[in-house]
Amino acid sequence: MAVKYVLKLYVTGVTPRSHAALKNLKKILNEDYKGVYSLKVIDVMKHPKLAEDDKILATPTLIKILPPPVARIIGDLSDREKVLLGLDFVAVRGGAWKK
Amino acid sequence: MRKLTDKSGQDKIDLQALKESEARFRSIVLWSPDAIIVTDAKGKIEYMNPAAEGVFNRKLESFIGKDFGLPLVNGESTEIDIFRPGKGPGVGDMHVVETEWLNKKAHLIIIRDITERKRQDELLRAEEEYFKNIFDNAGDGILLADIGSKKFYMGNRAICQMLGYSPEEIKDLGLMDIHPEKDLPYVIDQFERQAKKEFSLSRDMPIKKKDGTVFYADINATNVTFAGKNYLMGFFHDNTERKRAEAEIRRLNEELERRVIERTAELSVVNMELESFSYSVSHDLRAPLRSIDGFSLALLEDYEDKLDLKGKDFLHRVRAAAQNMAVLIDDLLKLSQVTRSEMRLDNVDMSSLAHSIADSLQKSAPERCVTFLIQDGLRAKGDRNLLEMALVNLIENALKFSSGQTDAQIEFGSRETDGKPTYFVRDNGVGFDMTYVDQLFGAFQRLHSTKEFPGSGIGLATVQRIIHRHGGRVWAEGAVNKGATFYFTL
Repeated sequence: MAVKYVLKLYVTGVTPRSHAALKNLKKILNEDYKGVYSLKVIDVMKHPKLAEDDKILATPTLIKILPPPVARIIGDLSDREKVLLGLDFVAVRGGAWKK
Repeated sequence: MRKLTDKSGQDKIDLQALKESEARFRSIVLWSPDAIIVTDAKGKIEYMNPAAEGVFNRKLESFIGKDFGLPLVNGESTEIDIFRPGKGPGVGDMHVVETEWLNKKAHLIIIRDITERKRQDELLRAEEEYFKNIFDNAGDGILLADIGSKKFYMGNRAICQMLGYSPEEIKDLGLMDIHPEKDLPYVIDQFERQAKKEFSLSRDMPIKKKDGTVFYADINATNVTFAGKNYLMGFFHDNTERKRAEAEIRRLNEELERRVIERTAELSVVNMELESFSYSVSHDLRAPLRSIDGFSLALLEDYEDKLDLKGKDFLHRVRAAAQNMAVLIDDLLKLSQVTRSEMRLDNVDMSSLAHSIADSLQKSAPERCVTFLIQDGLRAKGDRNLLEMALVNLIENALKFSSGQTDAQIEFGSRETDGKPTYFVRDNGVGFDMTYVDQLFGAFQRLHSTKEFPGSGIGLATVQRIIHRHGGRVWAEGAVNKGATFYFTL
């Protein structure tokens, strides 16, 4: 299956917030988007340049690159519905998102 | 701050009042220490206050119009990590409110920098964990009791194990519950005096466990105050093992003492039997000896004319041997008396004792030319008769073995060793070979033939017994033809 969703997650080291965001996001993606997403996790402490280029102010920040439009959300990604809504994904239950 | 502007009533509002109101809100936003960010409904930044530059540690003009990100909370707070280039990560408390900004839906985001507070919290938490660890893992039991109510506030794992209660149960208990009832007045008195800091250590306090058994502990207490309340923190050290060890040592000592007494009694019985045996043997031996000597004499006197010279010589030899044996038996008897007689301790003037011995010996052998050198003022604590017997033996010995000397010299004196006197009798006689020094004090042991120097070989054995009975030590030094010195301590 072709990759349809390209995501970037900015975190800060191994803080509890970074950890929670990554765990929550993986859960969402693995439940409904398995095999069709690409996620890049970027630690602002290790790659400050990337973070500055992306105008990151605070983390966890999740950026959806594809499909357009680009969208970003900020927070610990614990609320699945809000995450899907914020990323402009059509909320799907029990099936892959189709366009 | 639900609405930053209100245009609905604009016509009716006084322009001056509006300006004043706007200035007030403006100064709040400008002077706020918290970062205030206004984004549009999609998260694009429309406004940031000056404090934001401090919070994010950089210039932020270029961020206007850029995407902050859509906050996933509304009307509540969440913690976020603040990215502060060049300053290390920070922590922020982000509060988001949906509002209106220039008549459009907007998000008002307020970020309070809580990095320092978090760091302090973390330090406190780490410290608390550290002390909790010490508290929980301490080998001694630790119990905190309210000084007023004497109820327990908390106890560590060791005290729970000691008492047999769970940590929760401990909290429902108080001083009255963990000591035997009859000891409570004493325990409470100790507690109150510790609380008044009169002393910190109460030894061997009786402690009652959950199952009712009692053990003893040393309690070291110290006053602590927290949350405005005064507690006595007691460190309990279980003495059971120490007490057991002490009792064991005491038992072993008593056992040892008992066995020593038993053994001593056995030995004295054996000794007494031996002594009475040798005493009666000596006595019984004298009678036949007297017969031998007496009948030999009768033979010599009554049958003189019937005996030739050879026969007479044989009888003389028989008599000499019998008399020699009588002396031996006498000496043996003396030796046994040394151990049989009761010791009577006196302050003995050793110098005058030596003088009188020397005088009487000189009288009994007027042909000898002997110089006696006797140190004055020597005194000793001991049995007068026994000490006299020892000295007689030593001086007689010296006299005997210096008989070949034309200028015989016998010295009695003392020198200090480790603060105690060591007495000595020295002569300039034939001396002895140090190789055989060990045999000197054995009964019947002789280094010289009877022909050279007559004697039974019991004298020095007697001396040794006397000195040993006084708890002292006797030894000798000498060299062939260079005299001998006998030392003794008491």
